[in-house]
Amino acid sequence: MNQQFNDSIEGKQAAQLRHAFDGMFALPPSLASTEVEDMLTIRVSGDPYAIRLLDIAEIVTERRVVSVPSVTPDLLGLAGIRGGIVPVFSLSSILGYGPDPGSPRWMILCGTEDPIALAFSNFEGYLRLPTSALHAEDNFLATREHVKYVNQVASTTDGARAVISMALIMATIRNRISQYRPTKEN
Amino acid sequence: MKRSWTFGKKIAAGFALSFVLMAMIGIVAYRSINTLANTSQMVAHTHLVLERLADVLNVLQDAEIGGRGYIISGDESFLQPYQHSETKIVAVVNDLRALMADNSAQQKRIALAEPIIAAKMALTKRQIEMRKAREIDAVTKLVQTGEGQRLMDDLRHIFGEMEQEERNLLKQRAAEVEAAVNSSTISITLGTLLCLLIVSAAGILITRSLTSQIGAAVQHMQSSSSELQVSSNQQSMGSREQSTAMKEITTTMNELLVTSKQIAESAQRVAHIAEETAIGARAGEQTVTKANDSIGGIKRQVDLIVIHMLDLGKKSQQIGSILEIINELAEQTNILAINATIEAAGAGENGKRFAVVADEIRKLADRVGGSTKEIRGLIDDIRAAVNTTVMTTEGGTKAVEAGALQFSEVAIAFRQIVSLVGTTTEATREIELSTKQQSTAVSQVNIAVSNVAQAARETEVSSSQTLQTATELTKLSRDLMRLIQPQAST
Repeated sequence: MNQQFNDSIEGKQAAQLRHAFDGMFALPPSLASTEVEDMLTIRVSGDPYAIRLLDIAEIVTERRVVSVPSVTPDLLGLAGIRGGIVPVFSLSSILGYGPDPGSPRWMILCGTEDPIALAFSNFEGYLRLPTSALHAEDNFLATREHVKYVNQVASTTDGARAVISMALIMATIRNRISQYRPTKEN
Repeated sequence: MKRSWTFGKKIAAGFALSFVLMAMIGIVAYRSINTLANTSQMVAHTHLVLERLADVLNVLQDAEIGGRGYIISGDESFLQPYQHSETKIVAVVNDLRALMADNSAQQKRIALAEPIIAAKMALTKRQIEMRKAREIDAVTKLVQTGEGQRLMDDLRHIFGEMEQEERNLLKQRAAEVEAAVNSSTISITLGTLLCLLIVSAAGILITRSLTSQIGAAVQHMQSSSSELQVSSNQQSMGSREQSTAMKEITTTMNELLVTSKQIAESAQRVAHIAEETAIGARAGEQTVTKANDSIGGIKRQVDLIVIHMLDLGKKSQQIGSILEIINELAEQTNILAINATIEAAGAGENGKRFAVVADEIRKLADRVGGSTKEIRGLIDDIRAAVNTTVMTTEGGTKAVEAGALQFSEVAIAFRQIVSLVGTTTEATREIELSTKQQSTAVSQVNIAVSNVAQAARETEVSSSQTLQTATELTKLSRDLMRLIQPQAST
């Protein structure tokens, strides 16, 4: 009796999933792409952060990172992604939290030319917000630490999330790398 | 005088001493009297010897006078004394010899005198015969020869010596008599005095000893009488208390008798209940055995459940592993969808439709991820439930084993109960029998106690009599003490 009951529930759930999946293709897009912003939600040392999907080139997981000697403490090593050698930096260290206690599982790849990977431990998921939900919140940022690379705040149902600016991080890293890169004239 | 001697011994010793002394005095007196008598007899003997000596001389003188008268006168009438002397002289001389037989000197003298006597008597006879023959001249001449006078002088001389000898003996014997009398007098007097002294001393000693001993005994008797009085009083009180106690004991024994009867009845009831209990215990043992078999079946089923549950746990673990793969697939799909979205955004307008698909794939992956989380939760719940069930089942198995063990112990306990109930029944019957015997014994004890109570009453009366006797004994001992030591009574 219970078995039949459970079977009917599971059957209904599968049917709902199938119906929802099929229905998405039957309906027109609800919002224009300019009116929404796709975000990845993560946590660094327990603090909630968001990353614009358009700011990254790819998200990968469980890639082998080979440590290399470096003067930059944020550099974890090198990893092979998309057939290329990509330097992997610790997002936690860059944001000012210090190194991760373990080896970070997740990486986001930023930039198409000379890409840089930022590694972090806790990936929460995908979030689509209306553009209006993103705004500069100086008061909020003034109350928090580790907001050097944050330029906006996203209001979500779970509360406010600091939006990390990949452009600022990339600029900082590239600037730092350029300091140690030998010039062509030399 | 020895203190350990009895009064009879002491008195007998006193009397014996007196008797010995008196006997000694008597012996001394007897010996003295005997000596005196012998000496007196010897004196009389000496006087008799002297008389016989005189007789011999008188007979000879009579013969001479008679012969001389006849010679002178020729008258034969004068011959009568001669003839009398002639017949008497031999007897008198023999008598004298016999009297002096113990004296050898006198015997010698008589031996010397006898021929002279014979010669004198022969001379006298020849003168008479000559006178008868009228030979007057011859007779005269014969007389004138003085032969007759010489013979008589010799005889007188010998008889004089013999008389002197006898008189000496007489003096000696008189002295002996006097000495014997004096010795007897002294012995008797001194012995009597000594006897008086010794008897007096013995009497004093015996009196003192007896007085002291009897006094001590009387004092001891007095104290004993006093103690006897006290003891009699205590005994009397004790007898009264004993009598009272015996009454209480009798009452208690009656109550005990009633209680024993009640115990006997209770024992009968207990025996009946014990028999019923034994029947119930046997039924319980059978029930427990059946229950034990049932528990064995339950245990086997529980073991099967445990095996199935462990199998279920393994299957859940396998599901979890598969789900892990599904989750990873969902995660990869999600990442792929996100990357596809990124790529679609990079493709611009051409990638919009692709973006939609990618979005849906991402949603689907999200949902799959959510579902896998739910399934994981469910599987975790299942595994937890399985673990709990296994643990519970193992606990149940242990409980069942413990229950089986306890049922076995219960079965053993029931068997022991049956055995013990049997023993109880037996013991109860013995109790019943013993209680009946006890009732009989209590009745007998009751009778005995009544007898003892009677004896106690009699003892009380006896104690009163003893008290009275002790009082009289005290009075008597006081009187006796007064008799022995008058000064002590004042």
